[in-house]
Amino acid sequence: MAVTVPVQIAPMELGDIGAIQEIERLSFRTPWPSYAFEQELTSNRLARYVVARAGTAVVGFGGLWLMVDEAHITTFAVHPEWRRQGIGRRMLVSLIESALALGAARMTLEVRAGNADAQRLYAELGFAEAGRRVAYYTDDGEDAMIMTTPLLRSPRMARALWAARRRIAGGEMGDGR
Amino acid sequence: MIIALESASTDPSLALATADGGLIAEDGWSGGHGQGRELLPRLLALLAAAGRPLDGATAVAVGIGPGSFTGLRVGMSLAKGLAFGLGLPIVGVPSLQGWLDAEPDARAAIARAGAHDAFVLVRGAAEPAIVAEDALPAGARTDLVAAPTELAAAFALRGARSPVHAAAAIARLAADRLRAGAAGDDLRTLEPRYLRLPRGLDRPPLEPIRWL
Repeated sequence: MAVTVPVQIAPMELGDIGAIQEIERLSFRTPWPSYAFEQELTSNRLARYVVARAGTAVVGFGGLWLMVDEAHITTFAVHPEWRRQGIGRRMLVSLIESALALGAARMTLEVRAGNADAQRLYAELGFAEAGRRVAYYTDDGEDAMIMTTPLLRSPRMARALWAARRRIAGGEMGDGR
Repeated sequence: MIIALESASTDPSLALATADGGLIAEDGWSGGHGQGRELLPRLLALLAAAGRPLDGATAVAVGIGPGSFTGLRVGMSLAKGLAFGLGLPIVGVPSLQGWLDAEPDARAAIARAGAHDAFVLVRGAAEPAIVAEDALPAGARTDLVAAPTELAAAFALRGARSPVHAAAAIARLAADRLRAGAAGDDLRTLEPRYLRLPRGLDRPPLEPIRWL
């Protein structure tokens, strides 16, 4: 599908949860229940969640928790029909900017060991494999790869962010291969 | 004064009672999934409203489940923190026993055990059973039972009454035990009785992380 409407990254709102549940269902074997998102939005002061909107439609979402000085990406997905258009990159840059604004020193996340597309995006933004949680996912026993960034205020992260923003400004899609 | 906490469901409760179990003040509410956040502020408000300082406490009573995994962890953590910090005995009381004691006419206490099952303690039975929603005992949907508001709606328990007075009953049951000369439970080893762990926890512990 070609992008025909501009995609905006914005804070997640309660009214987005229905659309998010659909993306969850299409993306994850074990989706979060809707009340988990409601709770994150209404009562978790250490959480930040964003959505990608194409017009009025929610086509992606992601979020993080600030734990002391580390921002942990808790969930991240783009609607299958909207993938490979750079939407994930824009959401991830937005989350990194949130982490910086919250004063986080580093970021971390878990990703399925077999999810090469997601790992490529994270690697582009400075995340590198730090370890594995063996048989982490309860639905099929897949390993989780732990990926972390260097210090967010390091020159390496600044370069990665600068390059990603340039690709976003240039309208580049997907992973640019 | 006994401080009692019961947080095995989305309808938690708190009570202050005399050493012989007489009720001083109580609070109970339908808290949804945020029940854990409310326990401590509500306890402090209850103490203030009753004009009772925290250091007037002589024992802590806590519902030990089975029921909500996170609710029980939060309640147990708070109870242990109070007992440890104030140097008080702690008494764990089976939650559903407390629910039945709080509703003398209820035939059973029914708590959520995951998406499709319930913990059911029939009055007179020694232990709760894990029962599927479609295998609830006869009368569970029509007779008076003690069950949280959320579960009553989800499982169509039309005679359900919320266990909002359960903490007061747990204080009474704990008082009985302490008056009988029991020393209370071991603060180091007391833990919730889950009977069944949530999905993802009901498996052997994960291997240690393999750091690169």
